[in-house]
Amino acid sequence: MSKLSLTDALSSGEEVQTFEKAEKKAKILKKASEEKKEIGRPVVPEDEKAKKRSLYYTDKEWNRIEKIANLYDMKPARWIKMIVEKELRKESLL
Amino acid sequence: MRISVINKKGGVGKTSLAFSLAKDLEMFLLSNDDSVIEIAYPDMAKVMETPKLIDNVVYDFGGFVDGGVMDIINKSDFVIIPLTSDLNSFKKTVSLVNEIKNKNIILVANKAEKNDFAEIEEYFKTMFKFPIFEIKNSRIWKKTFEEKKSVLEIKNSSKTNKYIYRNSINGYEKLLKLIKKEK
Repeated sequence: MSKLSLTDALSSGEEVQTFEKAEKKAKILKKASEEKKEIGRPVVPEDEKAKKRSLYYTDKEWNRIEKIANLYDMKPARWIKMIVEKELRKESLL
Repeated sequence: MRISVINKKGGVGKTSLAFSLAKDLEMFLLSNDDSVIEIAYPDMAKVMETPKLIDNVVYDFGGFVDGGVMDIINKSDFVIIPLTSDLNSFKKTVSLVNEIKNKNIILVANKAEKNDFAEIEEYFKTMFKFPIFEIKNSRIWKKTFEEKKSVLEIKNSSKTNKYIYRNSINGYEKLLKLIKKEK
């Protein structure tokens, strides 16, 4: 019989990487790499973004775009791009 | 020493085999599958959702193979895969073998009847070069948890049992001999 008790063996045992832990780690790494990407890009101040936006959309229109884009779990710009592409395809311009 | 007994297929006799091996080799027994091992092998066996990596242990892994289980399998001295002679068992065994990096694999044609061992040997010898042991189907395996004894302990418990089970666990005894040689 082993001299070491099971409790002792388990208390000094090495914890293995579980699937759940690996998944959590992957999420953290993904988030970190995304943040790094964000840091790498030039930061455009919010008021400048709003100014540029106002050339094309009224506040009411933008709020509606944001609301719909959120429903599809997209950023407004991506949603607009998708709609524009769809329209261009319809007109055989893309 | 670490031994992992595994197959994703249920009902191939993993727990009974792991329990007997742990008892006969005087090793701990850890499992990620709910079973009666803690009652049958008190102070030496434990059911844990995520078993820890320790020494002198037999792992009984059932069902889903997550990253932690694979880590332990790859750090084991032997990976024992019990299987029965049916296509579903063959398919799951092949997929499991391909997933495992550790190639110290021993296949066990478990609960074998008549031509089962020959069928298993024929099917796997073309694919893999792992040793294959035959463990015949016998009532002795059902008695292990009832009597809280390994198959060898049951066989050696009386003269009658020695006679009744004289040929029942030959394959198991050969497997045990091979492991003891490495221990």
